[in-house]
Amino acid sequence: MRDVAVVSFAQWRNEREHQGSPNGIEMLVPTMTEAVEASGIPRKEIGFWCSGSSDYIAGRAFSFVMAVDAIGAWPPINESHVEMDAAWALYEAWVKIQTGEVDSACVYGFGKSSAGELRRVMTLQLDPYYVAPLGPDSVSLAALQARAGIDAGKWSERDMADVAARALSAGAKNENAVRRTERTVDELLGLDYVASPLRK
Amino acid sequence: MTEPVTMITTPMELTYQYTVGPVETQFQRRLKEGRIVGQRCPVCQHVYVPPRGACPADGVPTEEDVELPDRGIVTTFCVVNVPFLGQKIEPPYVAAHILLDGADITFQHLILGCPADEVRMGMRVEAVWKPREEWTFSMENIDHFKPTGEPDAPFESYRHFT
Repeated sequence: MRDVAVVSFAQWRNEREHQGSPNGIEMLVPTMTEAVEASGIPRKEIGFWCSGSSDYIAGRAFSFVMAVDAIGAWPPINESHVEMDAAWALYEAWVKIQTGEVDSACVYGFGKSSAGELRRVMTLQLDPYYVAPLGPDSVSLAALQARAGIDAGKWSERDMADVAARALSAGAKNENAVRRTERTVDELLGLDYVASPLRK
Repeated sequence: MTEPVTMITTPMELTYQYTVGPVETQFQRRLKEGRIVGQRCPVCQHVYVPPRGACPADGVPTEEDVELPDRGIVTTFCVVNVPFLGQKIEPPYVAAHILLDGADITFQHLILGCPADEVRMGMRVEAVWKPREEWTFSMENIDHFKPTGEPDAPFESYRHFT
């Protein structure tokens, strides 16, 4: 196994919804420039570029192709895309580095979910074979998963609230985050259910 | 015995509200004024229209605006002979890639004003705008392009777009 480290990072601000918000390329150009410059690796020497995004979120096929405009793809570059998110793209890049084929990679994820109804959009991704909604939406499915964990004794609602409180507290310190209100574990456990055992 | 299921049809519908970004907003506002404004890459100097805010070759922001004329050449084209649902024009008609003078990228538009079989690569064309009161934030402000009658551009001048 080769050791792989994240050497730089940049993030566009997350927004709930905003009229006149930038498209994928407009978000990526400054973000990518910031991340690449902070890495100290000249842009043309980056071994691999890998993006994660969803055509369903964009609402059109092959939407990720436009994002390559933000990289600068001439002379031709070594580039790939996964139909999910930056975490999945990071995995592909990590594998690529493990194979020894490349020594560095720039990984990016992007999307603007406010263009559609996110719960309905996500539902379409549940079945890669029929490419049709299977029934539960993404929130309900996450609730089923959480319930299975509780039933199996893997975690409790309080454990889940711990994680949420930690994430909210990190969000409160991140000016790019959407949710910036801190909540204690007890406050969270007092909120209404959205899809039991998940709370608002 | 039950017939095997070999295919299912699952109609679905999603609604999207497309929000135009800052660069597109500016381009479309100018279209409403009857202007075509592209942007130049600071590295390779290529002029893109419509501008997308970045140079696809260099990956850098394109910030310098370039006012473009509404005339140029046909680099490649297709005669549409096939009728299809929602067709607005009676076939045959010509869809062409148009390279505006001073631009380094083509866009697709309609060629009218001459018989379809007279359209050719290198032909000089100019925009025919809709009446001003119909202008909106759209390339459709240009109804179509028509031949100018000027001599054709030499092939070498647009070879890299073919």
